[in-house]
Amino acid sequence: MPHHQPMRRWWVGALTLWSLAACQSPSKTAPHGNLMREQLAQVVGQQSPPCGAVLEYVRHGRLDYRVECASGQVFRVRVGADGRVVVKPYEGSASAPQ
Amino acid sequence: MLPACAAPVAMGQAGPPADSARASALQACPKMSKEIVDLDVLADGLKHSNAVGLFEKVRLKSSIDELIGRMKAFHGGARSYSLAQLQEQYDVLMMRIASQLQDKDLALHGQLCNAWDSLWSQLADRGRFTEKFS
Repeated sequence: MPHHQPMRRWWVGALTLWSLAACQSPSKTAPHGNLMREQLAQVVGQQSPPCGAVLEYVRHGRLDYRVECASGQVFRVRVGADGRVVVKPYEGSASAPQ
Repeated sequence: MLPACAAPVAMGQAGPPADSARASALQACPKMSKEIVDLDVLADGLKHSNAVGLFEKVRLKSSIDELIGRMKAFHGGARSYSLAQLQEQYDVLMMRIASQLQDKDLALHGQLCNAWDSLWSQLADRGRFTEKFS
């Protein structure tokens, strides 16, 4: 029945979006460290080559983190005075410019 | 049933606890005529922003709802997370949103910058949170 096709496609699309979103949504009781690593991976991934999973992070102050990626790269992720998020290779790391 | 998702398995390290003082960042937010007064306004702004793709809008909305759920649990007496941890989770979510907006939607980014701390204050204050979200 052709007139059912658009509705079916809508449902398939909605289900796919929901499934993908659910994959990105940690549960309400996930450990704090896991939640932070997942969010930091998203922040780094938006501005730098994908770092994969975040292995470790250290908070240096509010809105200032050192983030170690599974790719081996280490980034400083911080928010500037103007609210801009800055992701830069961490000084002294292999990913920092020589 | 939720789809099986691969969770990253890694060791993390929390630094010093979050403080309640205004961050040293966010001292030079642009002056904006409109302001974001609560998370609903932010979510609505994201929904209508061209800076964020459809898929990312769904993910961000989901993350905002998750955070509100954790705050609701906290104010209800659950102690799965401390308030300092919840503030860190809030800050990193806002960083994720700001990063999406900062080059593509300067108006909404500026509004977010100005509202960053006041939105947290609203979430952290049990009375204001309950009034808004119950």
